[in-house]
Amino acid sequence: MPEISATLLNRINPIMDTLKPAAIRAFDAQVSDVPGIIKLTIGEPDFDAPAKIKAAAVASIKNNESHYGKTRGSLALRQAISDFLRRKYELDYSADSEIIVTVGAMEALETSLRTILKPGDEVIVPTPGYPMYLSILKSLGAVPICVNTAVNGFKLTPQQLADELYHHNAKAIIFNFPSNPTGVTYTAKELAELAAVMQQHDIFVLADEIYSEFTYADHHVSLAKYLPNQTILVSGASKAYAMTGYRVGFVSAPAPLINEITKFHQYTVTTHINSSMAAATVAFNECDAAISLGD
Amino acid sequence: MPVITNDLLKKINPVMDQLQPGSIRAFDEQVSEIEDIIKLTLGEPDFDAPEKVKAAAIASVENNESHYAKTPGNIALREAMAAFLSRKYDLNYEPATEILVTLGATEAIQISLATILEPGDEVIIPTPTFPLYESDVISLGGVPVFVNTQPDGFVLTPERLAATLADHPTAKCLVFNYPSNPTGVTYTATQLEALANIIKQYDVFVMSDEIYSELTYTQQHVSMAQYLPEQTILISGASKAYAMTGYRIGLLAAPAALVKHITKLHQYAVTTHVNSAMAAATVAFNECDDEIAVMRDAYQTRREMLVHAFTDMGLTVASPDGAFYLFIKIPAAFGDDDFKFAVTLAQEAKVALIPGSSFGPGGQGYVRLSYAASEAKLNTAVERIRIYLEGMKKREGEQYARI
Ligand SMILES: Cc1ncc(COP(=O)(O)O)c(C=O)c1O
Repeated sequence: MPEISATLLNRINPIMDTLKPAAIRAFDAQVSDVPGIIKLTIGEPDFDAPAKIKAAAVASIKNNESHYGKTRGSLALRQAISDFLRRKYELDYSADSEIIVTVGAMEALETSLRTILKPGDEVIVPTPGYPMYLSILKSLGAVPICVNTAVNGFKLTPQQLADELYHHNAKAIIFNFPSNPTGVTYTAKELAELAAVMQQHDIFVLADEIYSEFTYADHHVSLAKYLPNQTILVSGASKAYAMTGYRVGFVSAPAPLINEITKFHQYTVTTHINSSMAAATVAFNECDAAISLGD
Repeated sequence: MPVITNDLLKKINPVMDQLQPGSIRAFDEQVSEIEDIIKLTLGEPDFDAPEKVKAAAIASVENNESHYAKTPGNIALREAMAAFLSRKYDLNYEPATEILVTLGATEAIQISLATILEPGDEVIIPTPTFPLYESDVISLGGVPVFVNTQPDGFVLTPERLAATLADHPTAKCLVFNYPSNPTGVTYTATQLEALANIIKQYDVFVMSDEIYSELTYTQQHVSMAQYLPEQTILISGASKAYAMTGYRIGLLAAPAALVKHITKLHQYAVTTHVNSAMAAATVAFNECDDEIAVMRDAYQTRREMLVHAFTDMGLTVASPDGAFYLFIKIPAAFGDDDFKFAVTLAQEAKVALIPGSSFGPGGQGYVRLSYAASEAKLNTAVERIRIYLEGMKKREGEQYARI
């Protein structure tokens, strides 16, 4: 039971005191003890991962793939992600140089933001949004510019975006759709219009499209289709394939950016876990049918 | 093929330009092209993970443990880690509040430093050492203060530490790694106590990376946390002792008030660990003391063979107390140019070792050999180095004869 002295504890980075554990998880933990409670709190699929995916993880373990993987993730998985992005969203990302496998979309967001932001940089965040964006920005000393979209049915409009970009010298926009918490998403036409505004500025757009496979009306269209040169596309296997616990996320972006993001990925985790990567390879390659079971 | 404009690319965090991809992996990739090369470059056990460990991972997958785990890691694993620290090193950490499961020791190191450092803060780093510490400190806007330990046989002496702290009284953190990568040197209880007595006089954190603690050959490992629990952030994990690098299990133990803060950054960085890897590590920490002993014996046999062989060749090595590294002084003909020696050796003898200067001040003039490789491979490597050195001597002799 080591006890730290108050004076030493006072010497930690003062930002830490302003950071909170994720509110959603804290609330979930708090209500979990209520007898008979039905929790619809956590954004996590209730399905088990498909059997094929589990079999791939088991085979990887049995085959003693217990050594350090490649820093950016196994080439097989990066290829599967590249194929998935082409097949589903008509995107063109090279497995060799434009994709990195991360520990969940969370690491993808954190390392990407850390790569582009220095303390004091402004970042546009449409709200209501996923609270972790604000937490990560705070931890990096960046300044969120929250844009309330409730007035427009929870959609960021081109006019609103243009106004914010006029008033703020923002370094980046965090753009999440389909949206957590509203479920709202954007049509191809809306995205094209927003992209036209973004194109007029030297800004990065962090497109968090982790829920891309969960569109119930129209097929998902990626922002990267309209704005490939500025988009840092974040997604993963967690939601679509009911494999949150495998923690497989990815970033696709222009190669020079991936080179930079790779440094922080290496410093943060070295590389991903082989059995998770083997499972995700099968997910992206072979489990399109399993996704539609979630209808 | 998205193409970023130069103007936009210039807008990334300016610190990125100071950061280099890991130099060890870079050198490894460079020499990998050489045909028939024997690489003793990477610090990664050549063993497979124990069968019990694999079985636990498989059971976890089959039981559909595919959902988000608790943020600080499964309590079963944290209990196993606490029991391990108590059983092996007599340490007393509370699983619920004082232990965090991370993605490798790597993540534990990064989030600890991110929690304590503000831009401009100094961090004392005895060298030569694992290059990640410097990269992390720089990426956080901190200032590394290197302390070259080469003159003292790669041991940080109380005198040198006292002088360094006197020169840098506001340093935020001291990074301490033993058994050491790259030198293999470790510390005795007496040495640690003397250092702890000096550190105690300052409000400074000690990040003690003891990931190689189970691999000591001359003495039982003693943890810094035994002498300085209030100030120590203890880093360890399953990677090295249990041959589980690919499972990415790291362990962080520290006072609860600190773990609480560090856990926030863990959550931001990765949310939580992977269930099957945690199930595997629980069995490792609880049930695999015997498996560790078998691997340790194998390393010890290799180590003795190698020390004998290099001494025979007239080369000296740093005191090889632990880990699975030999830090070898390069032949005098190469002076301090360890990079040239490593490249020449790779090309002519087809044995790849890591240039010592990759590990910071004091590493120049040395190369690191990792003996986490099979005995057969090590024997061949030794033979190749011997033949190369004999050839070199002969060529030198002929040069003299011509003069
Ligand atoms: C001293 C030291 N610390 C930490 C690590 C990283 O270990 P892990 O694989 O658990 O991240 C290494 C691996 O080479 C190391 O040598």
